[in-house]
Amino acid sequence: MGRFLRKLVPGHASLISSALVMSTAVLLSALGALWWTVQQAQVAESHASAARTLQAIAQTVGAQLERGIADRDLAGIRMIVLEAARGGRLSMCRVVLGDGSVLADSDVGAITSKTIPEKLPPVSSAALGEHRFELAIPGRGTAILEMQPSAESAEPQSLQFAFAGIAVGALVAVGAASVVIRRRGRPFTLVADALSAVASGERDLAALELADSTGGVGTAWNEFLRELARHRARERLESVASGRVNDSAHDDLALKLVDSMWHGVVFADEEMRIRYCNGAAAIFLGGTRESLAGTPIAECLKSSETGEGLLRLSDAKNRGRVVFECGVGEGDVRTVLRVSARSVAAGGYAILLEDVTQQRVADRSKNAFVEQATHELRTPLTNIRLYVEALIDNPNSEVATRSQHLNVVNQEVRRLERIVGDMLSVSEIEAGTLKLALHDVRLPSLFTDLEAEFAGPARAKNIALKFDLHPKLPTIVGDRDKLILAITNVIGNAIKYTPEGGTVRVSARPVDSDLVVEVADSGIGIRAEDIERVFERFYRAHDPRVEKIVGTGLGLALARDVLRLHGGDISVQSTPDRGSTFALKFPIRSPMSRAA
Amino acid sequence: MEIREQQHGAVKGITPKGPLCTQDVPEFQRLVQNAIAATMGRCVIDLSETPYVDSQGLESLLTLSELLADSGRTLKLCGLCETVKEILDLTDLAATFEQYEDMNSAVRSFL
Amino acid sequence: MAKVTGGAPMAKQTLLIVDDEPCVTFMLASRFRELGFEVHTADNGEQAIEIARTVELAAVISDFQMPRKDGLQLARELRQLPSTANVPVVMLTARGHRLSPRELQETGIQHVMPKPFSARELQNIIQEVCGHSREAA
Repeated sequence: MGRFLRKLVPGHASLISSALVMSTAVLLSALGALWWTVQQAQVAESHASAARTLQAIAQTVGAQLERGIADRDLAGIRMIVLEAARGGRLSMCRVVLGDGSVLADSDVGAITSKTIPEKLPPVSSAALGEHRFELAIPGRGTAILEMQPSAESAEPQSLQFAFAGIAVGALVAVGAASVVIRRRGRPFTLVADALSAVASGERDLAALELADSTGGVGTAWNEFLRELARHRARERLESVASGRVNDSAHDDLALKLVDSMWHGVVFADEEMRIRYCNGAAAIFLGGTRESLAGTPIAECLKSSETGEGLLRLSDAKNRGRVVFECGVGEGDVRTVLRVSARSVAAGGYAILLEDVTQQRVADRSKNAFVEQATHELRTPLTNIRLYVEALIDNPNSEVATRSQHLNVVNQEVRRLERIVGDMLSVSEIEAGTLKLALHDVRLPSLFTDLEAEFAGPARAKNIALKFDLHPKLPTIVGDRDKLILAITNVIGNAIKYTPEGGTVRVSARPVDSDLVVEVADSGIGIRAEDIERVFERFYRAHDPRVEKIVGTGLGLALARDVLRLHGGDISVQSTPDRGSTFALKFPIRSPMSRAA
Repeated sequence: MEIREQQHGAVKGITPKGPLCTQDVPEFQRLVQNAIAATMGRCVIDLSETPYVDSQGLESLLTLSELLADSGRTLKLCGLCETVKEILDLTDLAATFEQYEDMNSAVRSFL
Repeated sequence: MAKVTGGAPMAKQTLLIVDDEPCVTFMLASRFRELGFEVHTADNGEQAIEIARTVELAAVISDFQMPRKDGLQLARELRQLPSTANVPVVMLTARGHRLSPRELQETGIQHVMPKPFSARELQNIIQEVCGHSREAA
């Protein structure tokens, strides 16, 4: 608000200065007009008084002149005209006949007639006027007395122009000032309009924003509007949280927002009964917004963790957040919710429900995998340590012995490399960033390695591990490490799920343009309802025979991903308690000839 | 039309096998609605084996999307072929759904 | 070298080493043989029990995780056999297992060594453990 006002002041100042200029101009022009009017009035007044003076003179002098003309006293009337001009302060005084001849004149040089004719020429009435008076001589005719007052009171022309100029200038100034003021004042007008809109209940504050062209005032106003909107949103949320809002006020902007969130949002009162919940929360809590209103939370989230969590919540006087997890729903996969709650200043509680089911599944699998992997890593590390220590402690042992020890170390290091590589592959596959590093892969050597790898574990369970390989296995293009990972997972499974004394047979042969690797075991087999699902990520059959065996649920999913990346696939056929046969198929891509 | 259901952890994947057209729509819709109810919305529709969707099919996808919208979710689709993507663009519905490259990335979106 | 505390001439002490990793059993066996022990090996718990019944043992070194009866199970059974009830057991574990004091007492496991471990350390522990048992016996 303060910022807005500060922006307003400079604008205000310019407005004020414009106003001052304008009012000065108006004042000046008013004064000028007034003066001009007064002058005109004075002029008119002097005209009027001059006219009255002339009337008076005409009356007195006129009679004398008529007698003089009747007596044919030319000198006499000339004298009278002179006296009248002098006395009446006339610029001109003369007697004129109907034919235009001048009998007497104050300006002696203008006299044209030397005698007064017996019969006076007629005078048209049109010749008479303001300064021309009729002289009537009975028996003789009429003559004209013409007088002109002094021109002293006449205003010079230049002053008249000055006044006219001031008047025009003032008008122009008024016009210009009003335009400027209107423009400068426009933002204020707009702001005033917007303010009245807000006061009369306009809700959409964004529509009241002003354009950039309104300059600093407009920007300040827009900022103010946004602050107001934020303030309103906060108020609304607080009032909802404290239960002051009517449940059916769904057209509120903030409620709309909360309502369309994919996390469950619940506001509860101080007795932990639901006052408001959004759509997602309604789903999680197994009801509808209406049916859940007023229900105690503990009834909807039935679990031991809930009870304890809610207790902690009511104890949390420091407004800290309480987080706990609880399971809801029935069905294939129970939903696990992470419940975060805290008390709200205005009273009651705000609760957030997040669906973390998939996260938990992924976590379990990851943990199992990490456990498995650490175990796998420690084994070769143990061996390396033992053999290296032996080499160090027995510096004088035989060459053959040392040689054997070093071979073991080497082999174990390779084993470590492979395990670490597999772990990276798994995390890449999980993250979806797995790419194949394509090279030539010599299949016979690949299978030799696998044989060596599994000889020990097979023997430990007394399982007969047989490799039945086509004599002419081609060299193919593929990612050796990933292929080994895939096949290892399948063979490893075969051994894992085959009881003592069983058999595992690995065969590899080309079929058309594909290579088909089959791993057949005499193990516990896969039940019909699980067979479609064994390749699903994280899937482990709900079969007690399976459940007690350690597994991540990732092995077959990984194998399938790797094979699909190579353009192939994996399938399985199985009979429970008899065994399973996994078929891995991928196209044979022969290496392109490389330039030497 | 065969419709395959697969579980990926806590997420149910539904793969209709074949074009999604009028006669198959009621079955499809019923199945998906049940899946949505059972998993509280953790579903993905895999359209990698669906070369074509007709107007009824689109209608049903929209209806399912609206069902989810009430609880703040969008319908997740994956594996769309060019034809189906174009159909969605032309009918201006592309933004109504969440589209993913494949099932794995769709499942990851639930984390 | 085993300590001589006087009395009867020194008899070779017998160790039983149980691990499903052949490299481990091989190496440990040769090491302890060099130290003057008699060593028997097994790659799973069942085989180990068989051997334990027939031979008098000074100590048992066993891995935790093995097929067909794991290390913990083996230790419990050894406790129950009269001939092996007092035989000290040293457990090797790759999974970082930690046993509670009660479990340790129940199973008679004297030490738990995480893998990878130092053979010299194991040697010291065995000698300590065997020396005690000789004195106790």
